[in-house]
Amino acid sequence: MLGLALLAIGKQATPVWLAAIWLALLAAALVARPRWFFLWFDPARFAAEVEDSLRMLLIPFVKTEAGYTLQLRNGDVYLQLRAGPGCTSVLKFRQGRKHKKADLLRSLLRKKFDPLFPRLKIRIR
Amino acid sequence: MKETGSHKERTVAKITRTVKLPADPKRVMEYISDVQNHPAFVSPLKTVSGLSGNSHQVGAHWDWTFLMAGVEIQGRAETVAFEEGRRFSFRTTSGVESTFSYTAEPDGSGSKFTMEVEYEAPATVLAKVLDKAIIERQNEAEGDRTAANIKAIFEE
Repeated sequence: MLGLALLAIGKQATPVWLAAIWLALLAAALVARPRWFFLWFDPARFAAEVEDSLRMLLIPFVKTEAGYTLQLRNGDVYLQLRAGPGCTSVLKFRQGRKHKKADLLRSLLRKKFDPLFPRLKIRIR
Repeated sequence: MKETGSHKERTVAKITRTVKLPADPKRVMEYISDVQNHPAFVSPLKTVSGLSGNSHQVGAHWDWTFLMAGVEIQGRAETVAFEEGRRFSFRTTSGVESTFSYTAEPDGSGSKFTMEVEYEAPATVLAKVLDKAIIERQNEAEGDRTAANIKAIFEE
């Protein structure tokens, strides 16, 4: 796949420095994938949204210093929250195996927190 | 199914899914009839807000926001039927007309849970915007996803 990407870049005569930046960004995105970055982080709102989501998914949980421990039938899942500089924070999901409920939690939280770029909204009558 | 109304042709489609859940019908229906839980298992449903009273009451209404292809679509819905531990039904009152019905009955130590969605849209809009078969395929797939999500919520 990387070879094909480089071939495509080569055919369009993209400068090597641009390709290098693109590859570095791609690598950074892959490394950061299991982490969520929060800007203008509000700890109270975060706790309310996470705990509301856990209740909606019938997930028993324990609030810990690092975040949350989700007690699922086939093993625990950990939500680790680390404060960053300014009003930023990083959330990491840690789990030993795939859990459908953890996937549902990620999907629900994705809907609850606003993305960096606002979405188009349509009101139907 | 195709119906011809006095003003325009309408297309009615129905999706039905049944799953076995390891919880008694009362508990299943208590969870399902709380519409604020629906974003947890209906993938494109982003929020439910502005609930007037209790969603168990016939006539209770709420606003919903669907997220499709990065676009938020908002509308309204209202409860049309509720029987404790047996049945919950609501209909959307804006946009595409649809009725969602959820039923649960005892099945061994758990429940047999059935969801039915009946939806209709003016055929002219369907023809202009998207091919009807594509919409139906997407909704069928969404029905499978929702059933699998509900199963995971009660099983894991």
